[in-house]
Amino acid sequence: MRKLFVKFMQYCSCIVFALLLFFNNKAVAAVDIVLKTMDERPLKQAAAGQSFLLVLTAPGDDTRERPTIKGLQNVRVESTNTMLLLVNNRARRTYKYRVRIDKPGEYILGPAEITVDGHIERSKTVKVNVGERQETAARNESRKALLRFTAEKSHVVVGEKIRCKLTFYGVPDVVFFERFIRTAPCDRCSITGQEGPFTGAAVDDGITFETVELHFDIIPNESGRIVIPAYMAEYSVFQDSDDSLSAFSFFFRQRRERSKIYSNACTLHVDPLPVNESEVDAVGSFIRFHADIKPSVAKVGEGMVLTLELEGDGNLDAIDVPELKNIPERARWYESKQYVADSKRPGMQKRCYEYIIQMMDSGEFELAPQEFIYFDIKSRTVQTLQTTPLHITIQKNPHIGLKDELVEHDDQLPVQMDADAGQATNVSDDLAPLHLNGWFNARQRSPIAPSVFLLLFLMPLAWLLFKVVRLYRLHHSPYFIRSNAFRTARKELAHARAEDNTRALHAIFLCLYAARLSVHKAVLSQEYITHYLQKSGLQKEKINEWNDFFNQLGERLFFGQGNKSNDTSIWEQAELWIKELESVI
Amino acid sequence: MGAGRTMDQRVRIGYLVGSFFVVAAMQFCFAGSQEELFLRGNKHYQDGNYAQALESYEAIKRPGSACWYNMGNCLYHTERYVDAILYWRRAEHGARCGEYQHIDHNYLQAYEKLSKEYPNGTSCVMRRFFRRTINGISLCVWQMIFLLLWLAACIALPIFARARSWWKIIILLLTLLSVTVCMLCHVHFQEQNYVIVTQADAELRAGPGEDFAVVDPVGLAEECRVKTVQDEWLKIKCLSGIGWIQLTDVGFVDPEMNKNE
Repeated sequence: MRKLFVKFMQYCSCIVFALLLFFNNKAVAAVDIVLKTMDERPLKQAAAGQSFLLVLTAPGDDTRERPTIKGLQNVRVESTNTMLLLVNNRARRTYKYRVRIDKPGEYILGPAEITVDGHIERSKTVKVNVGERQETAARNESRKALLRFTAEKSHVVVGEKIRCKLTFYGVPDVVFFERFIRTAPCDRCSITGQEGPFTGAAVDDGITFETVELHFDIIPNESGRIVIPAYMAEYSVFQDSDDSLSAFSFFFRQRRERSKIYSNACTLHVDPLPVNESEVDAVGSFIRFHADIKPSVAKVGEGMVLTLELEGDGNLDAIDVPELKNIPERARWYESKQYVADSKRPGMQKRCYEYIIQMMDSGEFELAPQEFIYFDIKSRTVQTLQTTPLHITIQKNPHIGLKDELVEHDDQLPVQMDADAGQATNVSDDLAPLHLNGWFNARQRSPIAPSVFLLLFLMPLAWLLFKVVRLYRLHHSPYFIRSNAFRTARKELAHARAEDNTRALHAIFLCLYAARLSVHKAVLSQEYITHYLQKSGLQKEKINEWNDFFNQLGERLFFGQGNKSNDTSIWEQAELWIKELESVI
Repeated sequence: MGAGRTMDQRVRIGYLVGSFFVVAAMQFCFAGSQEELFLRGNKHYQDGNYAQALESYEAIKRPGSACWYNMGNCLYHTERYVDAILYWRRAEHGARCGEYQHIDHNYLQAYEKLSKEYPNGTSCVMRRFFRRTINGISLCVWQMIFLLLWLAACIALPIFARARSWWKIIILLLTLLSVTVCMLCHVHFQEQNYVIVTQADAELRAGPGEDFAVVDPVGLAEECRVKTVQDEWLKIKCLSGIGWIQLTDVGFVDPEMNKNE
């Protein structure tokens, strides 16, 4: 029994192994075609205008061999990519087609035919459902990022401006937006007025997202059905790591993973403009078309500036400079400039067109009203705005056609130049003469900056304050008094010498000792000083000399000046003693 | 290092000196082109082409007193009397004594054309005289005079106080005070604080917006002092009183303020 069982198991395993080998070969030999989303997830339903991948895999390593796929000519192929994969010494080719279908419906792609080892292999066909939204067959994962493309209207006329918004939603602190990318151009429309990106926050399906928005206008240039292709956004996702070695892997591994996401596409239904006898200048909502001319009184040949102001909301950038109509025959005009001005009304723009007009005849004229024909998007009808007529007065210009007379009769010139006086006398003028020699360029002398002015203002104050503080410390601070004692003594010595006052010497030396020994003058006596000098280590002879000198000073103080012939030596001695005492006390 | 300069140093000095002369020459060239525009404007004015003369003058960067005056004359001839008054008012800055008389004469003509009376009362004349005298010296010069006097006061006052020279102290303090007053008046009379009403139907409102009630109409070509600026509204003080007026109804005496609008 046991032997039978073992034999049975052996047979079964052989059969299973053979089956595996068979199916493996079959699988390896097969040409396979699948549909995937742009981020490589299985595709269930494609969206109109949104790209998806058609992936064809076949055995073999000859990537020069291109497959033919039936039905591919009916769709838009945006790009192709070829890869070669080697597994267990077996080569497999992968062909990726980035495909876009703009019209909803059912499409059959395939079969794909490719040459493998000299004979043609065929794949199965795939059915593509194209709807409004793309669906994948993958499990619902928690949404970390979304990209939405919205247009304020989908049914418009040619030239009508549509405000669009591209919004990227990302989970805060996990998803980091990088940039928007337009995947494919839209030939049948123009994109203008881009604003942003703007950041913000929004809640979608109960999840709070951080948003990045881009606003722009789309203006369809043709009628019919226009599909605005999906936009793409690149973003990176912060990866949480449960790895026990994550502390080390931080140095070697990127913690952010780059990803891409595609928005929905948008389909516009664009109607043509209604037939009108006159050509429509613009599409939008316009409220004012105004004309003004400056000056209204001019001479023949002088230029006048005519300004046409158009105010409203529409495709102002696409409007050509309006051509002036019904201008008098004897007038020359040309375009000068155009510019955008601010409008006081919110959501409106003002565009101004300037023209130069020169009248060749004198007299009173009227410039006919100018018309602006536009398609009003609110009432869906063609409307006309008209300016008011402008009255101008053209005076005769004595200089035009009188050049010869002017050359011959200089005294008839309207302005006589008086170079010495630097003035031009205007004969037929009630104004003061022109200034010919004055300042034609402004003399720029900017004032001193407030900070510099304040600094310069405070500096003398600071200096005064410093002096006051120093004076105060000189008289009250013991440390300051002690450290400046010799300096003060020398200063007073010089002062006394200048006044030839030898009687002051006694006080000078007393103050010096008082300051250095930090005692009051009343405490000081000859014995005190002698005792201090002995303690300081001064030699006995020196102390005796000092005592003699100090006695001399005392005599001069109490008994008069003394012998005048000794005055010079006493000053020198005083200076020497100050120098000597500097090293002792 | 030798006693003389090395070759390298000589070359560097040569470059520096050369660059200095090139830059100086460019300044002259630049100044030359501006003068050319001014002369061209004068020629057009002489020929009666006021619009072209105005264009030439307007092409000058940082126009000076003579330029503003001549532009005012051109505008007068093209019947833009209020603008002419505004430009003559700008010409007062940097004008010389004799030029003030021409400006006043032209004011009279322009006001006559507008059927208005040129303010010529005693107080107006005195105020105008005081303003022109103060503004005749630039703020920078007033500041320097003040700082010098202040420094002299800080040094001299303690000396005078010690010497008990009270008269010298009084004279010094009075001089310092008068210079301070002149400096503060210069700031008060600064041109960016003044506007001229350029629209005939301009109105003074109670607040900065068209929803506010009209307080008083404002006279055309009236000079007003600006107190506050808020968005596109100015709070001004004029003869009619104090109120708010739209930015578009006035022209700033300081041309830099007009550029910043």
